[in-house]
Amino acid sequence: MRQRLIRIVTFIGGLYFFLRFVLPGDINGFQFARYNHEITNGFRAIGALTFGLGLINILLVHGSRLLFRRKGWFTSAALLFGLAFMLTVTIGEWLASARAAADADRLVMLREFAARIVADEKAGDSDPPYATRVALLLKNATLEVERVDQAARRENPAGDSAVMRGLRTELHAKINGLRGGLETISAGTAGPEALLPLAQQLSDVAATYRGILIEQHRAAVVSKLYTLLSDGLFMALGTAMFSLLAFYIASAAYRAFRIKSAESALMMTTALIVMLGQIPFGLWLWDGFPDVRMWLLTTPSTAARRAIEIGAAVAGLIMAFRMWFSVETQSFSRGER
Amino acid sequence: MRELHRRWIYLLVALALSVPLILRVSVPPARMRAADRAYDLIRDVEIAPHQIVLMAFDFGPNIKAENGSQAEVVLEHLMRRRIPVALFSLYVQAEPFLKSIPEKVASRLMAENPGEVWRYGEDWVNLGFRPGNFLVLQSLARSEDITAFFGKDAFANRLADIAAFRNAKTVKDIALLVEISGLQGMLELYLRFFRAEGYVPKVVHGCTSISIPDAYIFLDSGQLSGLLEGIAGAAWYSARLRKEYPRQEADEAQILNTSLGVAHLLIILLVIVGNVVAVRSARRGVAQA
Repeated sequence: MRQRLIRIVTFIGGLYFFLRFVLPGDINGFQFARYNHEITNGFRAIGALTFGLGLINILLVHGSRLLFRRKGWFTSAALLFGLAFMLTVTIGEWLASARAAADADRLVMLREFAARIVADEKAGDSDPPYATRVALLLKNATLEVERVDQAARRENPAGDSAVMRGLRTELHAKINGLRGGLETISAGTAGPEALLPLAQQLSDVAATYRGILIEQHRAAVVSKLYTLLSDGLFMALGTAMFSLLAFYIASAAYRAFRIKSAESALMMTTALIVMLGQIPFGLWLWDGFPDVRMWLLTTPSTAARRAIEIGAAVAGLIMAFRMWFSVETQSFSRGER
Repeated sequence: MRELHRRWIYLLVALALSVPLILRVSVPPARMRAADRAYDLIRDVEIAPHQIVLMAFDFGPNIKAENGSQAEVVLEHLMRRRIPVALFSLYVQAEPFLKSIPEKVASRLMAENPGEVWRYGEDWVNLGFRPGNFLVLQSLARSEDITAFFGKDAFANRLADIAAFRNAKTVKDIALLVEISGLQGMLELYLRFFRAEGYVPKVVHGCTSISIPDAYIFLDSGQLSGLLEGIAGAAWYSARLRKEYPRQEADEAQILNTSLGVAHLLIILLVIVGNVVAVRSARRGVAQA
């Protein structure tokens, strides 16, 4: 039953994407791909779930090894500690940036409130009354401006950057302009046309305040800790692992790259020309190396690669058909037919 | 020589790579015509007020030396031209680079040009890592409101409120795509799915040295408008930047290219020595027989 279900779902999935590719967008008013956004979002969500699966798998494998003190439990403990620590710092960093974004969004909400008041007034919607809404807007805008002014004054103990100093000056000027705008509008007399410049001023203050929050976030401890772990450990370890290849390649070149036939001589000569055409020192020998290298890459190499690609594409197509019609069932049948 | 222990080879490689890096030596790079095309395109590209350039960083720490340098030089060029750039990735390990590389480039530019400021939100925006692989590209290409499609940036700010991005409506407002990756098949995803009816973007690609032959197929067919070939491409691009903006200091790309060039010379030397030793041994074997 389970296998039949998998086959049916696989076939329907394949059929949908095949038809979506070949059918026109609109067939006499019928849109085949109408819910494509929702469908692809579903697939993306499933893709994102695999991160969770990976996490659970790591916890199960290494957690049990640690719990029962099996061989290698110490390295599992180090891995789980690293995982938990990095996860905590990353979540902390993400929450801090989300808080900063929500902080700036309060001004944006006021801007949207002002725009909504104007739109409703023009549409004749007066519930709640226009004056009440404007009074509420002005009151909250005044409070918000004072809060933003105070929050933006918090200085970095290590000193502000040039960007931060510029942003503070800009914000100060914009807040003064907004205060002036708020003072000239009174709830009873302000028409909708007076609210639009106010909405624009709120938007401008929000943009600069957002810049300040991003700069403050960059200087925050959690952000620096994240950078330390990411750049100081993750990057360095990842780069070091790959750089080991340089040593193996050099050693292999000395031992294995031997001229044993006309073909191997041709291959070695080509490799040497490509290398000399790419490195700065090749020019010292002959300035034509880059051009010869370019010809080798654009003509013989591209022709050969195209042949390989076309072959692989045909094989891929056959594989896709086998998957679509569930002929290729090894991966989810556990061997039974 | 035949029994030359590999530890001596490792020592020679370590020296060849590290000495130019430590001494920060750089020699003029070889001319890369494909990188020239990328440079000329970015130098001449005209951006309307509602348009942006999309840069995809699809690389991890393992290929940072090549792809990271390419990302830096291209981003620097775009920033110097004050072209707003949106950065994103389909590869989870690239996420830290989306933050660190533009900050590094902006800091360098501000140090070089006192009084001028490059700011997040105005000059660049970080859209973060987006899970979903080709589905993201497919949906993005068909989206009628890309600001709503992405929703928020990597710092949870609404894109509709970010100056660099808020005027972009559809994928057609992406004037140029810069895709930097050494991952197998990643470029093909963009070429296949990042297009809409009446719109095929100009694409500049940065690849690792090992994937140059793959990328040349698309350069030859015209699907790529420019190509940065490994660290050599980044170094040549950097050299052109230095020519156009003389105040720029020597950057990592040229130093790394010099270091790698010395290592390549060593490999060439080892191949020659290895073959000479093999031929001599074979002759000696024949003579003894």
